[in-house]
Amino acid sequence: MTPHEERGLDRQLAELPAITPDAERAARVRARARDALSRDHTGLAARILKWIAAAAIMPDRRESG
Amino acid sequence: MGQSSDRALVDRLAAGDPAAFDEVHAAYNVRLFTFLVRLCRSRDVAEDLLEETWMRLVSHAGRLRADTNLGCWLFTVARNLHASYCRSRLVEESHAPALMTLWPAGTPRPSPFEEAAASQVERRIEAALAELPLPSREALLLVGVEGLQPAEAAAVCGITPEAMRQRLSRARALLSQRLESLPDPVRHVLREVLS
Repeated sequence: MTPHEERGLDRQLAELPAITPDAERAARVRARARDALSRDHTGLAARILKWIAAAAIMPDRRESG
Repeated sequence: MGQSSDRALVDRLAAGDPAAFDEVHAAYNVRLFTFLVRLCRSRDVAEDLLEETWMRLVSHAGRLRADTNLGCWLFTVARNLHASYCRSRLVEESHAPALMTLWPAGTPRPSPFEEAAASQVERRIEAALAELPLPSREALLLVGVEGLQPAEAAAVCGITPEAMRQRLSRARALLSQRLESLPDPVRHVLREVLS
């Protein structure tokens, strides 16, 4: 194929219409993913806080022990 | 989405910002689905793989590198999920045409391709594209349809830019051959639009 023909083919491919997913399912997936993102982040933050708290407490425990 | 906005989005995703997820979802949901449905030639499978792609983004949000190109990352995940699906289902290229029917006569519900392909020419291109071997199809879908740079498509497919350039060249030639084998009236219209 010549570069000109290749460009013509690519132009046609670029003009192919988008295919839309099912709107209801897309909304459900988005809500599930958003929820998981917030939860995971909260979970991570909670784990970090717990770790910091544990690290802060441990020396006390060692001292008291 | 540009590299700078990607960087900000990656930071916000890592911070668990649901609004950042909404922005990425709005930018890529239809593009990913369009890519997947043409790749796997099944609307139902594409819906499942799309869902899994989004869940992977969420589970990896905290581990994304700051310089992540979100589009490439998402297309890579979608493409890899499709590859895993093919392996798990033992779907081989040689069997694929027998497993799907693009435009069956008397189908009760239009296929996604029918819904999308407004003109006969588009329809023929869709059909010819669907018949290509998977490596050729994904190369054309990423570069021709989705507008990724060949180097980005190479990264998505896990090959070198040079290998992608060769793959693209072969894929265009194959697609062109298939289009040439169409009936005369359609070929004539194609020649006009491609010239």
